Amino acid sequence: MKEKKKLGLGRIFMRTFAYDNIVLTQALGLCSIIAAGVSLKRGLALTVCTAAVMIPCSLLMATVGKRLSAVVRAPLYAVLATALMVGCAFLLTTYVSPELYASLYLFLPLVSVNTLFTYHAGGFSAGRTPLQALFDALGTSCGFGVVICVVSALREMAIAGKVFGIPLPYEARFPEAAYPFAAFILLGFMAAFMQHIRNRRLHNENGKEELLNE
Amino acid sequence: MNETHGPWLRAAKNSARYMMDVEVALLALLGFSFACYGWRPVVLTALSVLAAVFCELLGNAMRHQRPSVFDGAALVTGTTVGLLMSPITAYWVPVLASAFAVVVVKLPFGGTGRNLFNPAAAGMALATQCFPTRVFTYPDIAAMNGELPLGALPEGFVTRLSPAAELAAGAKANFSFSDLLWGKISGPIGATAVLVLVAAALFLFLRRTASPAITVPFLVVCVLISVLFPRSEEGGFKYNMALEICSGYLLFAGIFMLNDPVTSPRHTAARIVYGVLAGILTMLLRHFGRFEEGTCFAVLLMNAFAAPIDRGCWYFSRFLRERRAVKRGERI
Repeated sequence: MKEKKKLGLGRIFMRTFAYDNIVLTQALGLCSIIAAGVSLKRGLALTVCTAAVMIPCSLLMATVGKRLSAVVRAPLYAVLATALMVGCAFLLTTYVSPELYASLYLFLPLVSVNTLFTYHAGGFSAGRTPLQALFDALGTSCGFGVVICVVSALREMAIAGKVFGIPLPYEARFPEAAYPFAAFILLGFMAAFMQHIRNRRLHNENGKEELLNE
Repeated sequence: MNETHGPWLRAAKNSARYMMDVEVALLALLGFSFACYGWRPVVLTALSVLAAVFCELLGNAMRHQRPSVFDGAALVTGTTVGLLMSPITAYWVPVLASAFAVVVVKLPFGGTGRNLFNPAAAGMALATQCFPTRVFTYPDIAAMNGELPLGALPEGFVTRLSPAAELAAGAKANFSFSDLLWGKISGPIGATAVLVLVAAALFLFLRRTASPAITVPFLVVCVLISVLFPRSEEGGFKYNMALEICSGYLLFAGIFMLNDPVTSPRHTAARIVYGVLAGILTMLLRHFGRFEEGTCFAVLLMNAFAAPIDRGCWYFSRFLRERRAVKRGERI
């Protein structure tokens, strides 16, 4: 417990955002990136929904999670996440764009039961202060968001020659980037890059302590 | 860290000899294609090789290594990709495929000797997945007058379904036995010359570069499945079998790709299991796959299982040895 208290808020954020990025180092939450991350709009929508579900859930778990047994925690968390997701979906269809919601068909509901959240909201947040949990949730959502946005923007550029619906001035098209293998390859390279950064931090003493104190 | 790296071979001192053997066999196939189609297949293959070598050099430069192209692995990868292309494909297709093979499948894993998957098979898988019409459109070798043009194809150029495509469609194939034997069928640059392929296989077996323990079970299983579950009813089972074996990449992959020393198992029993499973997968992909030829995918899938199969067979043989020793009353 002593080590856990030593973690500063900035460190918690940076850890979940970068060094311990949930997608790149733990390979969680891949399905939505691979299947739905084909345009930047979808990526952003998924990121916002992720944050909207993740942050309240983590806060709740940080406040009451410690008093509940692990058996009760998971169902409670799942019900809350689903409720939040329904709200998000409603807001998305009425105020943003029904087409966007339709294009995300399965993946938006999937967010609420994604392994990504069960892992963090259930594991990390219980037993932390709400502020720590908040920063952890923010870091995780941003980390997930950056990865899905990069992957989906690159794929959108390859498939349609656009970014966020804005056409780019080149003619080359590679519609096959919509296949899952393209996303897997991109994620593989990104994960290798992250591993490179982690290795460099392991050589430096301060960073080593930070990485090993998890 | 130990800096020696594979392919770890028992028969040879270095991997350059292995690669040269394979390259000689591949060049023989290219020579056959040159005789049939003229310079175009040679240019395609050369571009593919250049792309592979260039990407390898680029990767070496980025990783501050000494150039690793002299072990010949990039040469073999490039030639293999080039030989599996259609003679009339666009020039950028083999370039893209072999660049992908080296940049994505080989270098990130640590280069030659550490790659998990056969780079050439992965390059062909990419090309098959992304540009199936470019990869599987073949010229009609019987209707050809003269060589293929090096530039754009003339209007009304005659293309023809390959035997693999005709089998996949379930239609009666119109190739005779002698056509199959002499390689007078529409197909990839280097995979139609059955006699040259057989000679190459014998050469590689004699040089101990390829192992019959992989190739023979692979072919036997393919023959068995094509006899038991024929895709085309017409022409009789013998004809169907010959067509199945001689079409597509089957022979080529069985001889060259499955025998890649880096990605195939080393234990003899494991090699047999590997060959059998690869044969089953190939025929499954042919029967139910989306494309007329799925051998590349079968090779890649089997590459993933090579290490577990190898380890399993190793442990099993040790278990048997120990049990025999116990029965004889020896102490281990």
